[in-house]
Amino acid sequence: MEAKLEKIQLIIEDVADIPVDEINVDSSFMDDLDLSSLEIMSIVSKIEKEFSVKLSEKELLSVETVADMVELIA
Amino acid sequence: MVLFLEGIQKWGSFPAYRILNGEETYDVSFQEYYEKVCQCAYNLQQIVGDLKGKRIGLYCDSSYEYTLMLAAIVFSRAIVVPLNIHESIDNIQYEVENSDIEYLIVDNDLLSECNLKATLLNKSEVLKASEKTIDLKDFTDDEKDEPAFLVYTSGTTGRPKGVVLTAGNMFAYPKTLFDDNVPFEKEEGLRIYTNFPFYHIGGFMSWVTHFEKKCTTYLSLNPGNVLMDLENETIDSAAVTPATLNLWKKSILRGHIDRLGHAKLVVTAGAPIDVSVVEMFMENGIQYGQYYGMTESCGNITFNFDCINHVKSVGRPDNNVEVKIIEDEICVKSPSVMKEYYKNEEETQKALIDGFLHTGDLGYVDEEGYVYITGRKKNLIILSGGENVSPEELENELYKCNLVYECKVYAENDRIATTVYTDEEQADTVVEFIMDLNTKLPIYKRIYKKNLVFEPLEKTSSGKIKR
Repeated sequence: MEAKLEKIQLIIEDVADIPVDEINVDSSFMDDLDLSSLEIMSIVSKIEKEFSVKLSEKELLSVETVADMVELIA
Repeated sequence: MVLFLEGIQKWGSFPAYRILNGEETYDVSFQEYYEKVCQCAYNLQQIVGDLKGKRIGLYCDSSYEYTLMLAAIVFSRAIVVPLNIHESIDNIQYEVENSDIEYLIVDNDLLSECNLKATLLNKSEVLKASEKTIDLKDFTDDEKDEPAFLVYTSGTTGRPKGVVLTAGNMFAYPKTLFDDNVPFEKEEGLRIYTNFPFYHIGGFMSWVTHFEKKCTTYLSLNPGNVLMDLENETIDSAAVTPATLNLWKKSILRGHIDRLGHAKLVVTAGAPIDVSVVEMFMENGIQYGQYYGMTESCGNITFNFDCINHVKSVGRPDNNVEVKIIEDEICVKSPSVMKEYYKNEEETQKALIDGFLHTGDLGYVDEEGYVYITGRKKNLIILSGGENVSPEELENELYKCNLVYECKVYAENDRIATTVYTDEEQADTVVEFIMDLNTKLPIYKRIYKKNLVFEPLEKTSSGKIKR
């Protein structure tokens, strides 16, 4: 879990230029990290590549926080 | 008339598209493209019969095949209705019915439970390879006023409006790509990355313009791969949404300028861009340009490639366009201005007055002829993704919660925000309602900032909530 979280944090940092220490496990993509929809799409693409998964639009609808994302790819 | 199809045939084996998808990247030549358009037209005729004057909808993800279907439909003399795949289902249903679509081409099952009058056709059926083709012809001058495109755009009131664009609006005059200020000797053969969706006027313009000028259009197969797709490619220029430029700015800040494919010029349209972003590109040796236009003007009103000297301007009017400021509003006369709003005489009369399109944008023209936008006359949110959102539509959604006594929706730092008047003890319930609403809205319409107040909102003298 920790390793996954760390990788996701690094991806968010890389795409959105937000320092890792400002990205918490319960940070909301929209409300706390203030990510645009294109940023979210880019992050999702990188996560899919990094973890070799394919996330459906339906699955993504339920993702609100970093923790939700970690759980989804677990 | 510009001979669009003749041009494509002439460009032959030169690549029309480069579809970026990691190791599976591939090119589509103009010749191949033309053949596929003619096959698609044949398939459509087999299904639909004579296409002339029929309305054919497109409800598919943006892709190069999308433009192929656009071409097959309009050059078969039918009217194409491109629908925004990210629009809410409720609005899509309205648009399908309002536009009198007879056949709707889809690549998804999002509409399978809607009871639509239109017949659904699968994209794969329409695009299947066929031995037989139809010999399509370019538009003639006599066909200038024939409707060819019906494009829905967010109005300031709840429902989208159908913009009728004629064959002449799109093909009667040569398009402007660049001017003398860009770092290229000639336009022919340029490699241009774009991510304006092809159901959007910005997408149509890049399609028609790049084809006319014999440029290669670079596309991401998956739009989310925008940061990976250009790493090992070389492009000359990129025409992208303002949101993409914001993303690329962050890439440059983190030392990843290679993610921009060595572009010498980036161009945007659809929404205002922050001056600091422009300056950062220029400091890194990348020129910046912008187009200003709207669906109703069928593309460019002005363009600006001299941003060093006029960074805050949207530029000077395109060759075919006359800009006039009427009571502070930017008004436009040009052969590309729409014919009308479909079945909406009232809105048409408000928008087209004495041959001038009233854009709804407020602004002025300086002594050198550069146009500046200062605000919006009407209440419409314009976001950096290039999408327009009607505040009223979202306010109507908010009012479905009984605890929302009053509300207003607006943009704040390129995000949708709302101020809601409710009871203090109900605040959590209202926030939950909005978060739940967000999961049902297309991503670009989601409400980010939720500002709850516990007293009535300020009103104008006529009793309306003050914006």
